[in-house]
Amino acid sequence: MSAAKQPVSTTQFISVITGLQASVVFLALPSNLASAAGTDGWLAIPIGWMVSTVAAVVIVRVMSYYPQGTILDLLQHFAGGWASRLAALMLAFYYFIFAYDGLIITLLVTKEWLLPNTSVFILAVLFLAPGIMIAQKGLQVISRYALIIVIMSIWIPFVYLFTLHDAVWLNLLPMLKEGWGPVFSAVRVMLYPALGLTAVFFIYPHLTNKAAAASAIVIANSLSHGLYLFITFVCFVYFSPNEIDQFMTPVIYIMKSLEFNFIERVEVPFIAFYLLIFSLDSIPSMYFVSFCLKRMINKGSIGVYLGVFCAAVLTVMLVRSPSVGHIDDLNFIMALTGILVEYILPVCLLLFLVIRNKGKKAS
Amino acid sequence: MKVHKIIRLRSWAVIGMIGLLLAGCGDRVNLEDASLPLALGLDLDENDKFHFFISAPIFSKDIKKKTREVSGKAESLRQSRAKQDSQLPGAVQGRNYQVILVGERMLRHNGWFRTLDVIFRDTRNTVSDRVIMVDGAVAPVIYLEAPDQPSVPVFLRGLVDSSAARGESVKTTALDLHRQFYEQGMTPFISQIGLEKGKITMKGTALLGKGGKYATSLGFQETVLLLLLRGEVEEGMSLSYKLPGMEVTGPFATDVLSISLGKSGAKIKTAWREGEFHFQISVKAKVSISEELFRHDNWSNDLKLTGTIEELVQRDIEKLLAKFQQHRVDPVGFGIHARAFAYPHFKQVQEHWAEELARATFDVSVKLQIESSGPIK
Repeated sequence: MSAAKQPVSTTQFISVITGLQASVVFLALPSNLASAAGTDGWLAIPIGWMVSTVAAVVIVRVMSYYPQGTILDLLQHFAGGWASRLAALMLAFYYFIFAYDGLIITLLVTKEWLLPNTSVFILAVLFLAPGIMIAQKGLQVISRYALIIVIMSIWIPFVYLFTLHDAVWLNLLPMLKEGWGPVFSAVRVMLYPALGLTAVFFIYPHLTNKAAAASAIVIANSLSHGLYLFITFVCFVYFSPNEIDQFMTPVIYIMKSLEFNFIERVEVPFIAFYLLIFSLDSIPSMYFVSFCLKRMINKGSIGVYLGVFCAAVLTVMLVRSPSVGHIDDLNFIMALTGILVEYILPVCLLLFLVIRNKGKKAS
Repeated sequence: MKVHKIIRLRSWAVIGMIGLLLAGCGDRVNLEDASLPLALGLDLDENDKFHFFISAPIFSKDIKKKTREVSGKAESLRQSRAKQDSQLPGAVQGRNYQVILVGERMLRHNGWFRTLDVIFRDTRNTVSDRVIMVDGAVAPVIYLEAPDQPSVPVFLRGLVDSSAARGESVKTTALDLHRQFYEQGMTPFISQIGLEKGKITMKGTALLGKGGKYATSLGFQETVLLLLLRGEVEEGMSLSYKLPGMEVTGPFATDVLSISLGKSGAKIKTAWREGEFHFQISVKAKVSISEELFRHDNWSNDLKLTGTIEELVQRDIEKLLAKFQQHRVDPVGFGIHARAFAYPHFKQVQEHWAEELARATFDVSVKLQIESSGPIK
């Protein structure tokens, strides 16, 4: 399936990127920011936004050197087959962790809040099966799916406005309680929620309007960071400063404060709906894994590799059954590889391409 | 032939998926097998041993009594579940508590709040249960059976909600209490009931110390003032005062004036000078006169009357603040203001804020604006 046959529009592109970035991480973000820098943690969000915007623009700039192909084609063209294969392996590994991390968080949240007596393993199978069905259709269907889910979820932030009834706005003051030090250490926390930008590596050739790619990715990045800022404010003004890091997922817990006459546990239908949002993390990334594997081995169809991916996920889950401590380890590995793949790699690539092109012009 | 094979494979996959979906049925609860206690009581006996009480409705036409109560000794709430199950027909689902009653003996000790951990930890529990202090023992309240009263949990929830709406008491849910306990800049408060001549009666508001120990109580009018200071007054809450210098005829208190509060709020300004905190509180309220038992010639001396009421309210607030200081509590949350506006000084005393507040000085000013006095002169 060539890129030309599967066009992706700008809004679909924005949905995919925002979904990859925000869909799972927003659950624990306020808590993580609060443990790093107390109520000043939110100041790290604009700083993180600036850093990731730079990374996003660099990534798009890299891709514009070879607009008709993915990152793997680009490397093949400029650096040869082996570089391309190595990159495919690396990206497959990275997106495997990406998808696995998202899946485990999804499963544990589902188990914790909805089905405490059901095995995680069965939940995983149930969650992966529809994912494969969407992912094997290719990028166009994935991005259409992402757009539909984003449109369907627009109303959710408004529900959180109800909790502001009990807000203590003074919690946010004073700003910079302990100076800039803790804020900068909280920027570290913000690197992880910005991950997902490298999806451009694969989507770029599909874009119908490549000229708008840079502005689209900045919009997508700003959307997710705007969401982070909103949800962090909501949690910070509701929970008291020493309390918020007591909750693993304050974004869900805060829903328990809502009282309606017709429903007792308001959070339950929300988590059920969140499952759709969570899928925006794992579905594109499992496609990227399969795509990279297919390119590396040069045989078979995407569907086969999606099957391999699922088998791998289930095996890892069998070897190391998911637990809360597990998530911390995973997030750490992911943040580490993420910095490498999403921040350092694009910059190196861009330098390489710029120097190479200059050398060509000179000779 | 190949198409045929694919179709068969797909239908097997669909059947398999549906089979897997049944896995969720492991989490179901049949309603007839469940007992749904609506009230939870916590108390200590004479030997300071922990007792729990629950009250669950019984759904049956043949049984006259509408609820079944269970009690027992236990180390912790979760551990008590076996005992709960052993006395009730169904498996106990501790998920729908409407009220949590805490006995007075329980509140003589710090740290009782930790025993509620399971309420917050098990995600299936609701956390909007109203937390209520019981004057005296919990048992007689839980076991109370009056012909003119709905079952205790339902009655208590209604009592707390309606009293809170009128400013006679407060509505503190379990999650609210969690927030109050973790907030260093304030101390918790819950509603307080008592049993008077076999009837459950709202007593007002119980103020707790930072550790959760009972400190003191607020009456109805004091509760309204507390809400006024917290900026949580709802329209229609009222204050009554005996006006000094008014003529009293016979046994009738003809010197009483009642006002009901309209849009009102309190601005708190924080300052730190000469080693102590100073709070400047300016209360502004629009009020209407709802009852005036004395003769009033005309409204030309309106200004004088307003001034008198303002003075009375101000004196009351000052008394209330002195009470807070005396009992080392801070239900208003002055500490939150101190943290927001004088953080370096607050940081040094945040561990024992209530003691620090006892040394603070207040400057109260009240400004009332009479909006209406009814259709009678």
